[in-house]
Amino acid sequence: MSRNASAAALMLVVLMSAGVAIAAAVRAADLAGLIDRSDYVVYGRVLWHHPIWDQATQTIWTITELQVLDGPKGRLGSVVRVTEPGGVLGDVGHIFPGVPRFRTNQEVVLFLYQASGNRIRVTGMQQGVFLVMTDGATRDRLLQPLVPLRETVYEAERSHSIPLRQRAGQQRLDDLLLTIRQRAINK
Amino acid sequence: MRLVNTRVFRSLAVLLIAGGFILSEQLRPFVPSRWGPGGIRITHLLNRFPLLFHVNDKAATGTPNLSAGSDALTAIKASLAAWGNIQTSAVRFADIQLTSVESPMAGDGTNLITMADTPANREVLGGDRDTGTLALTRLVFGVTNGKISDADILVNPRYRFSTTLDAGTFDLQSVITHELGHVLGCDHASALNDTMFFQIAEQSSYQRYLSPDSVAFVSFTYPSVDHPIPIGNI
Repeated sequence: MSRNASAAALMLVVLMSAGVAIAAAVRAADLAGLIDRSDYVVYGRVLWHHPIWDQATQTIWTITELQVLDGPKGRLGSVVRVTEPGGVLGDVGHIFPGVPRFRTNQEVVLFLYQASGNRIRVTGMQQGVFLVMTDGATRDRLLQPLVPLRETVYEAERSHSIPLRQRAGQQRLDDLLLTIRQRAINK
Repeated sequence: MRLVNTRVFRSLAVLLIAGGFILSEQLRPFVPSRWGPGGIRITHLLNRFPLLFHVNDKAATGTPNLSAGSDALTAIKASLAAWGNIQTSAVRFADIQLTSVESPMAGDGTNLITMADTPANREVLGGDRDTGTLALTRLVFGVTNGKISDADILVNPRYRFSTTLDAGTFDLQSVITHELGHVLGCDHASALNDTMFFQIAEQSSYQRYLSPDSVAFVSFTYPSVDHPIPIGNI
């Protein structure tokens, strides 16, 4: 391992082991931490989203409704509404860098917590979102973390990008859901 | 000959497109905040500079989540200076003004930094839960042109901060410097040692300083008229 790669690995270990937080600064969450800090974990498909104005916080929020395809932790109905700050009303937009946003028909695994104001929100902001994709060859359902936590590795003749965390680089959806179920039961 | 040239041209075009894709996908030096299907950049008009920030006065007197002996105002000024003193950039900040306003108001055009513990601030930041969110920046912008009209930074009262790197605290200056990158329209970076990396450890202070990519961001996004970036080909 090169000196730079060693330094990056050491830094990652430090980040993961120390008290680390997100700015749109957040605490680094491994999979176990995400599961433990979440009230619910759902695998779902985005049905729709729409913005609302909240007078108390003087902020546009976006409600996203998902069809629940699986719920490995916590009890929710067949649909769940996730509410996050940010959105567009008319010709005015509010954006909170780091806060996840969703597209209709997108399939995702979400780590969620019950927040104040009777809102359900995403744990660890973008860390709590995994995009679900289908492998064209095997038809496996694979996961891609939303957080772009990658580094470029330079090799002799080429460079490529690798995920620093293997928690869900190309992890299979079924494996992740099983892991979540087992940890949720054991806790 | 013309056929050969056409083939060469096509090959070069494919290489350039592929190279551009690879670069944009993997080697992004900085990540601009964008909006909408067209991906318009979210930025300030140059005539907004020097940008004025109001700071809630509780930061001056000390909030319960700020360690004793810490100087929040000096830290905030240092963060503003980090972004505002780049010679090749037009970004400049006015002297901060204290205000009794604790929570941002939408569309008032007042840029606010607040550490105040209010129900509204807590609600946006995730309430009493250990969400890990230390701070958030809200940008109010026009969806047709992407121009920012209001930028507010909320520091989470649930977490402990210091300017002296005390044990069990996060460095306020590092967090504010990172958030000011968002204020200017810079999104999260993927490099661990970048000012705009989205995580910070307790007692870590390297994000007080601008990474070369952050300097490049402000220099290219808000170029200085008086001191343009000297560029040569290598």
